[in-house]
Amino acid sequence: MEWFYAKNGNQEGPVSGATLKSMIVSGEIASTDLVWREGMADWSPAATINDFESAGVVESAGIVAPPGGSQIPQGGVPQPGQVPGTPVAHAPISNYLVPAILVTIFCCWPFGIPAIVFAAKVDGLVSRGDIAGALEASRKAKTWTWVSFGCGLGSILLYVLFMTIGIGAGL
Amino acid sequence: MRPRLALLLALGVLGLLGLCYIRGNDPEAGEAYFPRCIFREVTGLHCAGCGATRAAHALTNLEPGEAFRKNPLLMILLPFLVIGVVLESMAWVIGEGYRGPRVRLPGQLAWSLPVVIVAFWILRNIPGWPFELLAPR
Repeated sequence: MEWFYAKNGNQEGPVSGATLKSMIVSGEIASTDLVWREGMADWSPAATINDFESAGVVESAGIVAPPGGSQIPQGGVPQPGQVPGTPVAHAPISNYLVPAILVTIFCCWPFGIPAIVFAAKVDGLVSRGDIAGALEASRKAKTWTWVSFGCGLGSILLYVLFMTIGIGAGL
Repeated sequence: MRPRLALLLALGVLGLLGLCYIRGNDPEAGEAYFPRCIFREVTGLHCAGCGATRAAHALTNLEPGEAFRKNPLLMILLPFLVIGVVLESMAWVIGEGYRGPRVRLPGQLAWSLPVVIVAFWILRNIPGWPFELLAPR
């Protein structure tokens, strides 16, 4: 099922239902952004679409132009909360991939490895719709990143301390 | 000023000062102070980041080939890391209102990155050709 979505007044897509879902989950598409697929009368806020998998049973045969061509309706978008059955909008889930790699390389401790492993799992879990799992992996990646950072900083401070004591004893 | 922006700017200034220090002092000359790798001190082995300081010294002196010999994986990852740090810093400072791109790892690539880093960590400690090419030299 091909989906189109409106971003900053521009029509984007088509993307698969799973991709669209993960974009909404990751926050790339806000709950108030408009989405459309073949068979829908008009563009609707993403928040009103409850189930992307069951929203359309018919497999789209080719790409059909959305109504109104490239014209995206402006304004009049219902706020989340006014729409009945609005799913909970998820804040983007940080994957901590960049900090995890940085601490692995610069802190010299093996604790960066679990941080990278958990960080690498986050986006896959989000795209599969496992939000709880993604949040858990994100939390673990964050914890290991800080453990690695703390150990790296601590060992440098200890080293400086011993250097200072060594210099002091040498005098 | 927002606290996160102030912290980021402070870290940026510290980072620039650090790069200036690394540029002006050769870690291999043994004259200036550089923190040593605790993993190497304890185990005698190279960690995945070993050679990063020397690579930074080479790179800030515009010797990319020399930097590559010190830590090849870091040099390959560096462009992605720089883009990643910029994007994630923006997302962190702006917070929930951030709508720009984030660093995302597609599901198929999820295991490749940890595997590559761990493999690099292990392989660069194996003596002899070709593994010695991965160690700082």
